[in-house]
Amino acid sequence: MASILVYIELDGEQPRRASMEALGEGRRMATSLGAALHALVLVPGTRSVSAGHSAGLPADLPADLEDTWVRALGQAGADKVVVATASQVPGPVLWQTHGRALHAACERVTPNLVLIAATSTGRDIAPRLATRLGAWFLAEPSIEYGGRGQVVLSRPVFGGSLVRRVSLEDVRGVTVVTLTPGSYEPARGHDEAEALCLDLAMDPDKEPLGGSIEWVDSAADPGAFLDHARVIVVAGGGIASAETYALVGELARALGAELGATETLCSRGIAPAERVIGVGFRHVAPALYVVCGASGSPGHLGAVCSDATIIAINTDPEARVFRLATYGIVGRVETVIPALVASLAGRRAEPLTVAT
Amino acid sequence: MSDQAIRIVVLLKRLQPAPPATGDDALVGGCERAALRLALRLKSELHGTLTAVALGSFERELPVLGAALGAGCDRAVCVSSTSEEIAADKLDYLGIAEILAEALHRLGCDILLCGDRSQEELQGAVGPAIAELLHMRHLSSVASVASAASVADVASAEAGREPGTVVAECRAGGALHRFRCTPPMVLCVLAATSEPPGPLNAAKPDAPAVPENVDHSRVERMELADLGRDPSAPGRSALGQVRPPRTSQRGAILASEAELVSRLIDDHLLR
Repeated sequence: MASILVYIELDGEQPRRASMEALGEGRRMATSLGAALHALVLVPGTRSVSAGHSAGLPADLPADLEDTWVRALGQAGADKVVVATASQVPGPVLWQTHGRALHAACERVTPNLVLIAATSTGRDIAPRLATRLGAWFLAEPSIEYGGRGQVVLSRPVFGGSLVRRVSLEDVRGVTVVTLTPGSYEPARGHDEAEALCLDLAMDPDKEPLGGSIEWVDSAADPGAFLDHARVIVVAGGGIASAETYALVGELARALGAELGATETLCSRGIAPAERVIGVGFRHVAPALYVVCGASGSPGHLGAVCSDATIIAINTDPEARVFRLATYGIVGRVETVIPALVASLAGRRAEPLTVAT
Repeated sequence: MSDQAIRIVVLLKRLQPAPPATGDDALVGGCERAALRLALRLKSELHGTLTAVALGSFERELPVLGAALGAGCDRAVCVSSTSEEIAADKLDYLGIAEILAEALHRLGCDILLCGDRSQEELQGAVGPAIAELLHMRHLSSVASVASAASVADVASAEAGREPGTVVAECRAGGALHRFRCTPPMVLCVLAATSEPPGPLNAAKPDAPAVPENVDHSRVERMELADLGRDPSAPGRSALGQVRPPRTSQRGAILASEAELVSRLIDDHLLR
């Protein structure tokens, strides 16, 4: 494999942590595969950037590109940093705002593997980029490193009852992969990277497509607190009352966790809709996921990243959730949770904080 | 846009058989059900036509498409083949998208609604891929859609003049963003809570069966050969191998809450 490209998504003027995590994993992959690692950042600009390191810099970019991007991304593992301008438009970064520029950069760099953090932006951009490149596409796989530079990507399918495994050495052509935020570590290195500046001034409105999509306004997502939660306690359909749901909330507080709910519970009105976790509702990537009174259906646990440690509390020892959990307790939530909270409190003088 | 009625298409797909004892007996996934409900409402608000399309074995998809007709779709089309190779789990996202894009091109489509992610593969790739192949704009993670005329605060002198204009609300980056959209477009729809019981969601209490007066003979067939595709090699095969997990692990059932806390501390998940 000759090269890997990592797309660095920006949050304002800073790289998103999820993208730096993807770059870190890209560094690990590149070392294992003997590939060159490129980091691509699309910076907002009103003037084009001429090819070459120092000529024709956009007026609104810092004069010292190396301090801002090249050094930072080089020290985070990149062998080469590709800086290109993209049109600045209001609203979120999506395929329709940055897709053409990203594709153009891929056409210039010709990577074998493209890594994109599976943020909402990444999930919007990645499959369409893959289509335009005629590439393979894998969403949020787990990554295993074998001997002799082997890299295997695997992801659960059909509710986790099966696993799709892909060895990169067997792939012919380009592959686009999204990586789950929070599942990887940024890299730390000392090498300086080469810089490549690209003139990719792209007006998103000039794409030869019919119709239009114009951003109107934005508002807070009331359920966004679940998106980056590292510890989640979830109440399932077996929770029969608001009082029991409140008990689950007590466990969440004791653990310092966010409280979620399955679609079944939200549909019954016991939990508010913004707390729902499920396939097609909200997908989460916690380190620890405590399931209270839920059977563990594919429609629920399919929305939880495969790296999460799952703890199950259920009255049915044959419930599917126990097959997917690391630990479980068979019993009623009304009995188990008070005892569990008591155990948490009795262990230390101060409330325990989940290691994150 | 011409003066013809807005052509709305919704993609449906019967769920693969779920593992036993999951309690999930729905015919289609939550995203697809939300897409169908949305499509039916937009059909009414935009005074358009609505076609349901599924890819797969005709016998397997017949109940889904029959239910879609019963719910109010004007047409239902199954893109099918007698070949085993059309099974969705055998085709790559691009293989699936290429077949559906060709079918949609033949049918004509101004607004395509599909589920944001399938419950089987969870990739969220087919909708954006179809948009790319049909040179249409797309939005993913769509939480709600309203016809522009019904959204007073974004109405303008221009809104509503373009047939099929909608306001779509998408979830992205911790926020909800509204976009004003004119066709052609692809909208990838998230699932929704508090959905009413329906024939596509048999797990819901009081869910009615597929209406008996639905004439399944109205479900149309579009063969791969009609799309110029070789049924024995309809598209790119899925990457890699699918097999059971290496360890059919069963979690440790612990005897006490204190033991659970101790295990979590040992695993460095509590301190």
